[in-house]
Parts: sequence; structure tokens; C-alpha cells
Amino acid sequence: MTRARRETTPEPGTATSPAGPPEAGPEPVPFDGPDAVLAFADSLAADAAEPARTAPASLATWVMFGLGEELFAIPVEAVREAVRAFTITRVPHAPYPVAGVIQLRGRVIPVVNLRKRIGLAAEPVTHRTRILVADLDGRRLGLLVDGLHQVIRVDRATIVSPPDDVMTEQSQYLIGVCRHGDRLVFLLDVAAVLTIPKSLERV
Amino acid sequence: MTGNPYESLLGEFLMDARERLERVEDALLAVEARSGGWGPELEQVRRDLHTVKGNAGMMGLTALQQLLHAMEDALQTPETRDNIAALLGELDRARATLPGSGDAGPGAPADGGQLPAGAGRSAVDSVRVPFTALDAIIEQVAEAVIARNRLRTLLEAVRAIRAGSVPPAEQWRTLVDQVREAHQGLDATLEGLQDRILGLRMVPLRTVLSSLRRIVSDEARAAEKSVRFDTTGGDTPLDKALLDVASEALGHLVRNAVIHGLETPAVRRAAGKPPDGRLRVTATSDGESVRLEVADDGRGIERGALLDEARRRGLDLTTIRDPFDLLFMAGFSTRHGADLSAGRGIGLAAVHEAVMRQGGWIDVHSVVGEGTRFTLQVPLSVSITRALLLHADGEDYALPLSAVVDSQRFRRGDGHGIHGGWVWRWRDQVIPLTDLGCRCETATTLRQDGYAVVIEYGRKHRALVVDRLRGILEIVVRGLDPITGRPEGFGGTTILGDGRAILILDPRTLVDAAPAPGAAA
Repeated sequence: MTRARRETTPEPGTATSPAGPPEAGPEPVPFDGPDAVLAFADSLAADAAEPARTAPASLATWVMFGLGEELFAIPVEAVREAVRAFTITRVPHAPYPVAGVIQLRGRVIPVVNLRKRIGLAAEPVTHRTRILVADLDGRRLGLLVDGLHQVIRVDRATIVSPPDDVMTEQSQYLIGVCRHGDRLVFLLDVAAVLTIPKSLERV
Repeated sequence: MTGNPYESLLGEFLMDARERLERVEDALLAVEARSGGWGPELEQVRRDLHTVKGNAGMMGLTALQQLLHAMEDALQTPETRDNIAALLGELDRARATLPGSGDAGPGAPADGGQLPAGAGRSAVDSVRVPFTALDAIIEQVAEAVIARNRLRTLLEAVRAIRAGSVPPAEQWRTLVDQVREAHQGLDATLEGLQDRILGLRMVPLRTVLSSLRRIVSDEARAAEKSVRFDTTGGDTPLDKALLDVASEALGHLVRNAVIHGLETPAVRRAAGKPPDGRLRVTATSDGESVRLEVADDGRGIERGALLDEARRRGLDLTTIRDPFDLLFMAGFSTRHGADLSAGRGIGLAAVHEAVMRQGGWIDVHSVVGEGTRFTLQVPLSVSITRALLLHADGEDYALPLSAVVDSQRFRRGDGHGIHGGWVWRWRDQVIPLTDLGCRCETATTLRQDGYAVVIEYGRKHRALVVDRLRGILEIVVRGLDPITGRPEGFGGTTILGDGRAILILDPRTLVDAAPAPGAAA
């Protein structure tokens, strides 16, 4: 339903909806435990549906998650759902960052371990590990992350492009960096992260 | 199988009667939906009822004859003519008297059959085949016969060679080319034949969609709800076997949508929605699979409430990946929460299983207060294979049974290391041996003890050593996304009964594969 409605929602600026829900503001929702994941999933659906109506054009919504000590985020539109990570079936001889495949409601979905994809050491799956499920050109793929944090709104004007000298073949996936409180958040391009560069096929 | 002329006549009668009574039902439902009374369809309905009545008399089905006569009478007077619910009821009773009417209609009693189940099935499980399609098949069979004759001629040439002298190299080459050509021709012909026959199994979805209209109408009346029901994509063709699965699944989904998803007009008005609930079934096809969507603009499903129910039942929440998965769990329903998907339990679990069994998938999207959309996808035709389930180093693999020629207990001493690989004496041959764990990067050396499974592809053999054989099962072949690199040795994936995705081994590339590193110890 979200998708269908998003198509019919007027562009930001033309939509003036005084009867709409009051702006919730960038108040973060903390997430831990299964309830929170569900609340998170609900908020994903709601957020994905609302941005044009409630957010100024310059604000974009991102899903923030942790990998080790660092914070990362991907655009909320890219995330279909977040599921617990268990029974990932390994695919022998698959490219190094591919964790394997999972079954989700009758579909077999490949899962990319984001740690391996961006050059961090792999960690074992824990109760906090999540798979973010994304649709990409008709394919459905999963992204293994350490744990979900929250949904954040980021003013596009505050996104800083990564300096050219840190851009390598492996870091093409970095859209930019923004601040969240006193911490930095790395903003990732989902399509780029879900494409395996030749250099990472065997490590 | 229908040597008895009465039986074949009965089959034809049943097919015709079902079609006509279905058309009558469609017309009744259309009149009901329009709420403007009867239109031009009245004449057609009368004609259909009259024809079936006449044929029923000829077949000696007097009960049916009388019921249809009563319906014709009811259509004469305006008061009884406009009581659509009563007419639908009579139609159901008429259909229930059809021999073998187990599946005569959604509203019909299931035990309406008067003949042994087998007698009715011949008609129920049949498809209509146009003559042109049969002609095309006969033409292709003729092509296959020509190709066979050609191969026979070539075989004669080979026999002549064996009997006499070795022919010059040039002649050999021509012969080989001719055999190859004949083989390719036969291949193409058989493939075309297969396509055509599979095509005959294709039935348009329309029949299913019109039976849904009936379900919606009945349920809405019973629940005092007002529903605007639309369907699109009735022309989409589907394999007959899958049509039955889709029909069952869609029936459950629309019934649930009317009973649990859509609100009563009063509740809808209070929520600022139009009083008529919207329910839409959409079918689309991309040439390989059919996608069916059932979307309502009802109250939606709350994930939090699903979780509450799971907690109330003492389910281990840490094993739940996504609360919507709970919807598809057998026996899970949230009957106590009126604002929920009460009663969705059993039905949805069955739907999920049926769809999965046919190689399809099901998905749900719901926004609280705005509605729910179920999407289910089934392949246009099924590709089910039998496979041997192998177990090595804690992992399961499916090996297509067609490639398996033997399996035996194996001890490490049975294998012989030569040229950096292993070989094994099997029957009167020496064949290469691969430890499946080594091949799949879970082991580094040949295991001490286990089973050797001999596979054959293109007259070549190889033995695969595994820990255990876990039995034979039917699997539905699914693809492997290109991001995995589609490594050699694996032909796809499949889903086991316990929900795990596992890899299907590809005998073709396994037979040829060079010994995996580490196989020689």
C-alpha cells in the first residue's frame, strides 16, 4: 500500500495538508529488544509513506545502524523490512562479502555481510544482528548489520561529501557523512553496497 | 478410460452445465452489484437455465431438472426475480446435485456427489483443447517420427562400418555431423512438443476470479458490510495445477479481507473513510510467474498486537524474525483482538504452505488504518524434481535424483590418492572421487567414514563422499541471485520443509570438476 500511495502523493511543496498528522519532529526512537524492532518496522512503513507530507524537502529519512564502533545509515526508502538473522545458508565459492542465502516467506534471498563488504572484520551473529531487506531492480537482497539504532532525519544541506583522497574502488558506496549529536554517521548508497567489486570476490 | 458412452456423455454434460451455471452466477452477482435491477443479461440467464434443464432431463437427473425449473419460475415474477440472495441459494442447491460436485462452487455443500468421486473427476479435472492445438501437436509428433527415421538410417550406416572396413576420415566427419543434426532436430521437436502440451494445461484465471466475487458477496452480506470488489487480469493464464492452489489461496484471502480487514460502514464513516470498503484482486504475469495481489483499504494489521498475542501464547519471541511471519504460523490467530486479523490463523498457514510447495512465495504489507495487501507469486508452471538429500559437515545439499546411479558405505581406505586427486574402484571402473565437504569448503581432507554417492552425467561418473544420506524428497527448483557469483557445482536453491534454504548440486559441473584443493592428502 505504501508504494501505491507514494506514487499518488503530490510532490513536496504542493502538498499542504493542515489535517495531516502533526510533525513528529526528529525525535529519535530507541531500539532494543524484539518489541522495538517491530515498532521500528511499523515506523518504517509509516515514515516511508509520510515523508512528502510531513518533511520539508531538504530533510531525508535514514535508517541508522551500527557496525562495531561506527554508525552508518541507508535511505529509508531502500529498506523493505528488517528481520532477525538466523539460518543463513552459506554458498561455497561465493564472493567474500556474500554471507549466504536465507528463506523469507518462500523466497530465497542472498545476504551481503556489510562488515565484509566495507572492509571491517567479520563478527559472529548475535541476537542484535539484523538483516535489512532491500529491493533493487526487481531483485530482493539482504544486508547483514550488527544492530539497528533508529530512524533519523538528515538535512541534505548538512551532508558532507567524503574527501576525494579517501575514495577508492571499495568506498564508492559512501554518499557522505553527517553529524548525529556528537557522532558521525556514514551515509551509504544501497545499490553500490549491494554490488560486489571484482577486488572483493576472493579475499 | 471412458469406454462407457454414457460416462463420456455425462462428462460433456457436466462440463457444459458447470460453464452455464457459472455464467448464471456471474450474471446474478452483476445484478446484485449494480443494484439497478435486471438488465439484458436476463435473457441469457433464462436460456442457460433452460438448456441445462433440458440436458439434465436427457441425462435422467430429475432432481436437477426440477430445481432449475423452479429457478426459471422465480425469474418470471419481478418480486422473486429481484431476490438475488434466494436465487443464488437455489443455484447452489442445483449445483450440489451435479454428479461429483465436490468443488461445484464456493457456497455448495462439499458432499453433493452422488457418484463415486472418480466418476466426476474425469470431467472436473479436464481442460478444453481447441482442434488447432491438437493439429499442431500432431504435426510435431510427425516431425519427431521423421527425426527418428533419420537416426535409424544413420544407425544402419554405423552398423555397416562396424561390419566392414574403417571408412575414410571425411566420411566419418559427415556421419558425425548428420547424427548431430538429427539429434538437434529431435531435441527442438521434443522441446516444442513439451511447450505445446504445457500450454494446453494453461487455463485463464477468470474462472477463479468470478468465484471470488461470489465469496465476497456472501461474506459481505453475512457480515453486513458494504464492499466494492474489483478484479483485473482475468486473462492471465496459469497451469491447471497451480490454478487450484491460487483459487484456494485467493479464496482465503478475500474471505479474510471481508470478515477481518474491512470495517462496517459505520466504523468506516467514523474513521473518515467512504462507507464502501474497497477490495481489489489483481493478477499480472511476467511470462514466468503470475503475481496475485489482494488489497483492501480496511483497518490494517498491527505488528504490536501480533506480538502481544505471541507473548500471550508463550511463544519464544527471539525466534520470530518479523511479526508478520506469525500470520503464516499454523494455529496462530488473534481472535481476541477485534481490531486485528482474527481467525487468520489456520487458513493463512495453509495458503502459505500450498504456495511454497508450488515454488511460490507470499508477502504481506499493511499500514494500520489504511489497509492490507497480500501478494502471492506462483510460477506459471511447476518445476518439481526428486532429489537425494546429502549431509556433509552439518550442511544439507539436494542432489537431483536423475543423476544418482549408486550409493555405498565408504571408508577412507577405499579411496586411492593419485595425481593429486582421489579415485575409487566402482563396479569394474576406476572413477574420480570428491569429498563434498572439500568441494564446499567445509573440510580440508577426505573424510574417514561416510557414504559414496555415484553421479553420472554425459556418461561420465564421479563419486561424492558425504557423512549421511538423508532421504529422497520432492523439491521445487529456485534460482540463485547473480550476486552469489553462481559458483560452479550448484544449480540453484530450494526450500526444505523446516524453512531452510539449501543449495541444489549441479551434476553436470560436478562431474567435470577438477578435484578440489585439499582432496589429496
